[in-house]
Amino acid sequence: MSIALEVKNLSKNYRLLGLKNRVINALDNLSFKLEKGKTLAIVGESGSGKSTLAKQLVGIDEPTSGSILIDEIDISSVSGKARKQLHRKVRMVFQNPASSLNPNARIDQILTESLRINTNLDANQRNEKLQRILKQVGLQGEHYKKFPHMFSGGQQQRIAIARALMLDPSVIVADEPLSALDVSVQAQILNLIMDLQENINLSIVFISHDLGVVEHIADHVLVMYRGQLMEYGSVAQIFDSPKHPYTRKLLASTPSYRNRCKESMEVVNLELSKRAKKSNGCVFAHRCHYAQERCVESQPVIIHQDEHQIRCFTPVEK
Amino acid sequence: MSLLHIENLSVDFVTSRQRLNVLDKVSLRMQAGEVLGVVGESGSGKSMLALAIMGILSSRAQMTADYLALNGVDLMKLSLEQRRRFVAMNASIIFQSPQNSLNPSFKIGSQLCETIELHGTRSSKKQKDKAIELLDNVGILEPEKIVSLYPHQLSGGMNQRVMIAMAIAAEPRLLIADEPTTALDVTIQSQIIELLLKLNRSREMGLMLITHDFALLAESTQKVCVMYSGQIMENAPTKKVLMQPRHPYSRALLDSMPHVGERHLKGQRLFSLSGSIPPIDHLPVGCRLGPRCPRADKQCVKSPRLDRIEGHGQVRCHFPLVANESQLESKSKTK
Repeated sequence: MSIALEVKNLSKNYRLLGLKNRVINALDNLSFKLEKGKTLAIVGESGSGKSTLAKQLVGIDEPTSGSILIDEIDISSVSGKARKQLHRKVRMVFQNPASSLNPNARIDQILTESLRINTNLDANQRNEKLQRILKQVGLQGEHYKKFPHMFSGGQQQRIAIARALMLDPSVIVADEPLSALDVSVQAQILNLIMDLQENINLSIVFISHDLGVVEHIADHVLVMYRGQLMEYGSVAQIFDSPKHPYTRKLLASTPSYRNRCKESMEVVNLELSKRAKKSNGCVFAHRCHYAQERCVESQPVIIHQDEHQIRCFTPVEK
Repeated sequence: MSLLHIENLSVDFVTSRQRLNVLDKVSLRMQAGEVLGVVGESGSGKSMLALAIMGILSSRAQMTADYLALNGVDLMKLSLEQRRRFVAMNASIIFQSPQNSLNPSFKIGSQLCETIELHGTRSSKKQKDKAIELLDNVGILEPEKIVSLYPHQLSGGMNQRVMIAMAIAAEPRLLIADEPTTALDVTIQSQIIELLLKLNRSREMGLMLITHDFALLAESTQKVCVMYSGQIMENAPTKKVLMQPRHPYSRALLDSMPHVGERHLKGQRLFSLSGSIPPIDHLPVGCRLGPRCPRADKQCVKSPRLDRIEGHGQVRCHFPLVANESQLESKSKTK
């Protein structure tokens, strides 16, 4: 299987203004691979670095260290035009379509802008492509002269997806594409994403906090906390035998999965938890039900069990 | 005596050109200590219902009801001022985003004390003690410190707890929670819901939970009221709605959510209703779900009534699903 996207030891630090030497590790040594035509879901609470990761992947932001490989080419090894070419392969769909589409531009302007900038297609060819992509995302061809506000939320998200598809990408990074939509419309967009994946063999990085949707759509799941990989595995591994306490906590907090992880998730040792907050140990130790002395003292390394990766000293075996 | 008894509550917005009907003859009852779930898409009138009960609708809204009783007192017979006082003593509401509901320029303590003073505690020493006690009740650690902080210094979950503390200050008989967890992280969500249910049990406080999360309803509510476009579509015990919904809309909502354990089978698609909820000034003729409904027929151009189905509850549909019909026949379920 060929790899569409690979991330190796990716880190991103943000320096806090006004506070000398205060650095936030938004991404901390993250590595994963995404195969062609597959879906990788990234889950975690807000502040876990999901969106920061998305920004690095599409090139909105530069990573502090580490490398991103698109179609097995390291983007930092190329520059200028070649790099632009490479970045066309990875496009993004944002959370809120209403604010990610320019309200002053018509749909055809929004959609063909990337073609005008990145390709040598003439007006006719651009228009042809526009019509083809609109059809692909389930919009009628005559819609292209309208403005974004004339569409419903679901249609706007279709337009945002169409925009991402204009340059024939191989990877789509979708940052919570459903959370601004209503339940009945969510299903439409989710179906569309799955259709596209089957029809044009798209690889998808799907960022979400809705575990039900993730279980439905993903092939692999990456669980993040404070910029670090907590657990990585196939959908079956993550949902049937979650081993990291954080993954279990997430599952236990979601009503439909609660009966899978029945144990109490409360912190037992409050004193330890207080120390863990200030220590350089495991980032999750202060909220962990299973925290022990060594979790506070040092950071756990990632344990590999075949494909399954867990960053924990004492993975939960059940 | 019911805690809340509503008969034919309607809310209209009247503009110079037209009359927009946002709530259409809603009738429901809640018993003391009951947990009622209200579900529906945005624009279905869930929040409007909550605002109407609390009497905090915008001044342009016209509200009419045959009977609207809270704790046995008919609110429609009270004057505005009497009504405001009565509702304030007996019901409270919490909103989706705690950050927006708290005043950013006052300390948590003084905002709490303001509410406590309204409910009759005069001495400021007592007010402060009460504030700390309330914060303690909602599971905030070190409440003595929290009272002297500002809302921006607390996390979203903590702020929502403060909102809940404020809401229970008057020991209300009814608490309306309007999507109380939508703005919060999953792990915090479950804590807040647990807290609400605990308060519901320990104080026998009626809880109206407005949400669109069916899984949440399954484990916390006794009755569910499904709304669409300002009307109640189905009103029945939670188990019945979740296991054997009779209204096509309830069925569609349930089917459009991924089920636990259902994984990426090739070719499998979620059921989805086509289109989206109609704008309130362009309502379809007859059944409001009509244009989107997979079961719609000629008869659906006449508005269906909310009818009682024996052994189930109330359903507004000309062609309700049969008890054992588990899926909507539709081509989009499997492609």
